[in-house]
Amino acid sequence: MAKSKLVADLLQNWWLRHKTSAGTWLSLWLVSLPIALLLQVWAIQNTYLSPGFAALNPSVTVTQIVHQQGTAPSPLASYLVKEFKQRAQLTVVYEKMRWLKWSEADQEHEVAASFISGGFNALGVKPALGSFVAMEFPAADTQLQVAISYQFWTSHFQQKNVIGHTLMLNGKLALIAAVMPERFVSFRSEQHADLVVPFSFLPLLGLADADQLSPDVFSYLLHNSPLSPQLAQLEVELKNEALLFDDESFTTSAAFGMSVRQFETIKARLGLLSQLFMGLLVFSLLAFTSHIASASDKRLNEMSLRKMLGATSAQLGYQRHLEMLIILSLVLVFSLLLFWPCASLLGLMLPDIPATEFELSAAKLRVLLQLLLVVSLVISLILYAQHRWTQHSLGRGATVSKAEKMQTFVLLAALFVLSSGALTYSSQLLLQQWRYSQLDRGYNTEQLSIVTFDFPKFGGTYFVNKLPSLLISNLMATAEIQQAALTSTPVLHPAASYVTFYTSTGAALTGRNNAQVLTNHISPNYFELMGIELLQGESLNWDNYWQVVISESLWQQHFKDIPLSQAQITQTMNDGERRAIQVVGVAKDIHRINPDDPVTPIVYRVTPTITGQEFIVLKSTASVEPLQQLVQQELSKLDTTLQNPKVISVSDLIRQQQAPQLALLSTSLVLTLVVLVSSLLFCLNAVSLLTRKSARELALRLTLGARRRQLVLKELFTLSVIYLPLVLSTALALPDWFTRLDRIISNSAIYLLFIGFNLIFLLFILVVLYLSVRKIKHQSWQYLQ
Amino acid sequence: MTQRSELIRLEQLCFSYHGTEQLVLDHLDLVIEQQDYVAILGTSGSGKSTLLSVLGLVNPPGQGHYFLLGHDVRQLTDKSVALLKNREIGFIFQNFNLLNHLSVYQNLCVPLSYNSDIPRSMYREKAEQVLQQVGMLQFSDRLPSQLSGGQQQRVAIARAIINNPSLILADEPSGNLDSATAELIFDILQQLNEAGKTICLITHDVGFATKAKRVLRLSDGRFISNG
Repeated sequence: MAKSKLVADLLQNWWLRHKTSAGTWLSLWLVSLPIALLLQVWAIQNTYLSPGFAALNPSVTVTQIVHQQGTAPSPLASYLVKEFKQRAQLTVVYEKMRWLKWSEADQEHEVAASFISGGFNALGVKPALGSFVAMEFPAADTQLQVAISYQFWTSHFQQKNVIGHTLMLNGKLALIAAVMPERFVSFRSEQHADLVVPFSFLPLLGLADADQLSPDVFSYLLHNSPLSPQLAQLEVELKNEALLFDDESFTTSAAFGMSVRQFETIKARLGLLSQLFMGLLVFSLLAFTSHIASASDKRLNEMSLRKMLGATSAQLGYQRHLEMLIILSLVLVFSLLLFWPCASLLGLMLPDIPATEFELSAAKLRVLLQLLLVVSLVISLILYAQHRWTQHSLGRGATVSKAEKMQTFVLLAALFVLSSGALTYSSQLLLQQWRYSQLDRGYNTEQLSIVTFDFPKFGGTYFVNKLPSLLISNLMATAEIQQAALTSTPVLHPAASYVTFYTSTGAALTGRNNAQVLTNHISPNYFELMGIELLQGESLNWDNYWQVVISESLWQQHFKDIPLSQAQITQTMNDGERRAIQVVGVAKDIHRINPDDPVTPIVYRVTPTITGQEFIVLKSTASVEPLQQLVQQELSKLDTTLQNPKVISVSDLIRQQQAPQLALLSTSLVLTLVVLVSSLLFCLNAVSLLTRKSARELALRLTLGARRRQLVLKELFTLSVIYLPLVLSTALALPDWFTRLDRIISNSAIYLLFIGFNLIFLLFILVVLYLSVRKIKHQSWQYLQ
Repeated sequence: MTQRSELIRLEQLCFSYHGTEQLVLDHLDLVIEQQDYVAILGTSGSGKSTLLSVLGLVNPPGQGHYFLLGHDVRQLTDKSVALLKNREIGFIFQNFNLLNHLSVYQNLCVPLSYNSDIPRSMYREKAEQVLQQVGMLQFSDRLPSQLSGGQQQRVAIARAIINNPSLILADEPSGNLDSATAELIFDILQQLNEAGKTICLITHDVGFATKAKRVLRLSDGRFISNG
């Protein structure tokens, strides 16, 4: 009873003391932010970089293996799988995803199937119903057996006993052997599987053409001991027997359910971010601890008073522990509150990862609790040391020691130098981003979409026909599409076509040895749709293939001194004849891919037919989905073999293009913000603590005739002796730190910016010192009493 | 008999602490001449300590006027106030207020460092001179923590007179000392007064107060007897 009363009193006391303390709440949020970011990073690691997402609990190590041929990775070929089994006694498991047609009554549904070559037991997948025994490495000629997902079982069979029932898949009867565990989603990240089917049944389901060596197959090794020595020996043996060529090798990776390259990229970025956020946590903890220490110092009177009023040492210790518990609970709550908003922030920092629900593992939550315990231990130690130190040395006339002052100033200088570095770096990035947004690409990007589509090839022989003009006029006849054009070399896209052109004097049009010029086969309205300005002449027309429009840079290079009517280029035909092509117009240069890149010389020529390598450019306010359907309709009307249109908006392409820069910028801004606020908070607390500890000395000096300015300048001088050399030495190293940036300001501007930020910080310290001393002056008589 | 000049003049001086309306000093009139020795007696909360802080320019006067050496204190700039505190006023506190991390000699140098008229080369000489005066010369290299209470107070007196001020303000200088040591401190104050210093002290000990030439009694911020 007495204890609960004390707890209630102490909780109320804490609340009354801190409810209006901006420093307390700011430092709590500040320390919670890196923790929330770290939790997010761990959650992503848990989702992407471990097999846990597939509800696996492997009893062996699962390692993805890639057969590297030169730089091209591929899954293990079946002859290699045999060698692995026979020579190294290693089990190889394959996995691939395919869509199957499930016929139910008179209806057909598409279901996602994960084909896996077995190893359920070793992977630790426990069926919710039935058994995987019959599915473990079955022969291709046995009865087709499948496992259905828990969600599939619930939605289609209402959780009835379905073991032994059959499904019609791609026209074949399949026996349901098991129901997958409830948490199982897929053997791949970001995908779900309705069915799990033994890999060997691919041919039986009519997917024999889907070669098991297609790049989307993942192969895994199940093993207990380290792989490296076994693999090295196997590689040597296979090479000796010419089963493996010299440029072939095996690469292993911990990637599960995703490509090795993607895994390595994400792993590297997550590792980097994890380190960065750990660093941020250290900084924010520094500010947090300084605030706690300062707050604790302020309330020494309260503790003395409580002692005088009869509180025992145990009760005072109890109060300290309770307050620590409150703080840690708040940090935990704030971290969890920030956890979800941080997902969007990390989305910016990690553009490769699609937004999914990330799950935290129990192990990572344990790490968080351990982290918080370490934090509480550190703070308790500081408070204990402060308590002991204060009790023993704060007597009449006591003041802060030189060592203490130096320690604080060194830390303060280091924090502010780091903040200035971060600010300078972020300023660079912001400037770079601003400049990037101001760059003129040479064409309009608003309401623009690019459409790709499939078209059967005709062995490289094409005939001029009306198909292109018909397609364009059909598309433009719809209400949703304002304009449509064809292009073979779309903007912001890697696809490009090249043609060899010469000038009439026989020189390569490129001006180099290689005469291949980037050639864009377009519809005549392309320039109008794209907003590319025609500087001279006119656009192309459908009827004359032997006319071109060239870009401004080509014009300047070859024809600037002659009239347009005399400008001609030539093309060598298959029979060796050199045919003249009239230049009918000059288009303004564009930055086709990146506005930062130099302009690309382009020859524009009308597209005579549809070859399957064209893209449609659309100007429309409609969204992607309806636009895709509309284009499909129009393509089908024209030719049923024109299929699978895929629409992507140019703004999405620009967003993708800018994603790495934005990732860097957002990371840098978060880092700068946390470091800056931590530094400012640390400065306020540290200076306040220093002046409070020296209050009696400062009051005495003021009483003995010192002026505020003299006292402040003295402290500032001591700080500057530490600060300025640190600033100068760091400034010298700055240009090296910025080498990876596309620098838009000179070294001297970087120095100026960095030194400017530091001077602002020094001014900030000066103001804080001045205000602290002024406060002491106003209360100096009390300090001397 | 020589005509003594006026050191302090208070005219209807009032003072209240920031944020309160209650007058701690209530329309005080007082004149202290040079070489005077004034003791101010009063109960706790009577305002005597506040009066000393105002006289010592630590707290600014409220209403009324305070003239120190003919200067109207309210008209003085921050710089002039600091200068007057450094050159013309010496403080002695009940709790000595020595800086524990500095030696006796270094404590004495603190007021000298704010006095631009005295070069650094003179510090040692000045310090030894005042330490000699209070009988503490042999302790110049000790830290305050190595001294007794009486010795610390003698160092505090030495610090108060090192800039040769006209006025010495003492706030309960014997408050933390035994009676024998207190006697010694009052003897030193007596000597300083005889040497020409004006002394204004606060005490609750009537016995020591009688050593002064004038005794003032303060109650609720007003003088109830002006000796």
